[in-house]
Order: sequence, then C-alpha cells, then structure tokens
Amino acid sequence: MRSLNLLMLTGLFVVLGLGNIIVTANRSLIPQTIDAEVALLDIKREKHPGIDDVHFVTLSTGETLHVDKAIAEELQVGMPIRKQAWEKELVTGDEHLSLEYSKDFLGMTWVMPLSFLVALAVLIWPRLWLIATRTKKI
Amino acid sequence: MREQYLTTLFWIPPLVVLGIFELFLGHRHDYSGHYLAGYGATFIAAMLGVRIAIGTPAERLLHYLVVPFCLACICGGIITEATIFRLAKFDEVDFFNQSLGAVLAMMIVQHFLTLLLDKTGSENELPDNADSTLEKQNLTSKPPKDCKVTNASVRWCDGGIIIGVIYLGIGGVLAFA
Repeated sequence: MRSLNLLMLTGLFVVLGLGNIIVTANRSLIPQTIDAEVALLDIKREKHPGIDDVHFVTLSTGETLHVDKAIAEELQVGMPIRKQAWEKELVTGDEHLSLEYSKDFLGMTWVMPLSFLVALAVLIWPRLWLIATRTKKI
Repeated sequence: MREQYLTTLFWIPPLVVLGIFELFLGHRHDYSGHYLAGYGATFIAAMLGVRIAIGTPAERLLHYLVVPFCLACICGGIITEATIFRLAKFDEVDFFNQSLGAVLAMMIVQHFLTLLLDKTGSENELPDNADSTLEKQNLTSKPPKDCKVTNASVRWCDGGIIIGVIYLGIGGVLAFA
C-alpha cells in the first residue's frame, strides 16, 4: 500500500509540475494560435502591485487571455493580432512583435524538474538514509 | 538513529525545494510562499489526524487515507484560492505550487506512517527493510490489547505540527510580504 501511495503521489507531483510549466508558457502566447482583434485590455492588481499584476487581453472572439506584462504593454484596443501555434512572432497589423518566454516560465523549467528530483529522493528516502548511515559507519 | 531519520525527513526536503524556488524564481517570492504554505498546512492537518488516530482502531486505516487526504487538502487549496485569497483571478500557478507542497508533505507523512505502523523496532531496520506481510497483518488482525499510544509517536506528531506551523508561517510571510 505504501509503495502504491508513494507512486500515486509522485504521479500527482509530475502532473502539477507540468501544469505550472504549461500555464506559464501559455501566458507568453507562444503555444497559442490567434486570429482576432484586441477588444479589451485590463490590468488587475494582486498582492504586490507592479510585480504580480495580472494582464488580461479580451479578443473579438470573446476569449479572454492572461498574458505576460511585456506582451500586454505592446497591444492596443482595436489592434488585429495573428499568429500560428508555436510561432515566436505576433503579427499586429503591419508590425511584427517578437514573443519571448517570461522569466516565470524559464524559472519553472528549472524549478519543476529539480523539485521532482527532490520528490524522487523523498520516494527512496529510507534507502538513501540506510546508505548514508552505513557509509558513515564505515 | 530514528530521531535523526525523522528530523531530516521532516525538515530537509521542503527546505531544499524552497531553495530551488528562491534560486530560479527569486523575483516571485509568492510562488515559494504558496509552495511552503501548502506544505505547512497539509503537514499540520495530517499530523493532527495521525495524532488523533494512533492507538485507536482507525490507526490501521491510515495507509489507505494518505492519497484521499492529499486530494482533500488540494481541494481545500482550490476553495481558499477561489474565495478568500482570490484577488485578481484564480491563479493557477499559485494553486499548482501550494498543491506541490501538499503532495510533498503527504509523501513525507507516508514514510512517517510506515515507520509508525509497521513498528520496525530495531534501529537498523528502516521501512524498506520491513516485511511487507507485517502491513497485511496489521490490517487483518485485531489491535493488540497493549496497543497504547506511545509517548514517542505523540511527541513526533506534536513535533510535526510545530514544523508545519513554522513552514506555514514562513510561507505566509513570503506570499504576502
């Protein structure tokens, strides 16, 4: 039972870690396909104004996207925007806006795999402990 | 030996993950705050539950409750994130981070339960060396009449609750400061 529990918890850890990476990647718009006009731009404040503000872009299709600050600052209401999935360029009328992954996403690509390694260490903690203590005795 | 084993198990893994968060996402202390708060809150709740259950017939069910309890804590996190902590929106990243903390806490609680319930008495016998049939015997047999709440078990639960409070406090400070 204990092994099954630990395996299920490790699986859950992986799912949550992937969720973090996917959500932060989506905020860069890079994975998304877009062909619409900007209908509304909105900033909502969080706990730390200026640091963790939430930038929303509502499209003419009715879809509302949570985007990185760097992207929201380049957009204007009424601006047509277009891109294919995984393209790193957003066509805004006649101009092309380069898209980059945010510091949050880049951080997550390190933090999640390394945290997973810690979870794996916890998974085999009793064995690690035995090895460590036996080595110490020798 | 057992003291050192449990002390390192309770303290070290969350601290290492906190260090990783701060190293790579140091510009967002709220991320590490949510992770640590999730760890602390889940650890407090789980240790409180174990403390209540040890020495009672419910003790034998604890292994079966680890994953459901973890999911319940994650659901609790969804509710708090969607209600009292909802400022701009339901932040998925905050939710994922606090849930990661909850999962790590329950992995550690699982090891604690293994040590507690399988009763591997010798200092050199840690859980993975324990006979797996012991677990089945624990589940099928009636609790022995001399199955008393040991002072050591309760002490470790109390210690776990204190560790949880400390991590929850640090997490709260990081998330809101």
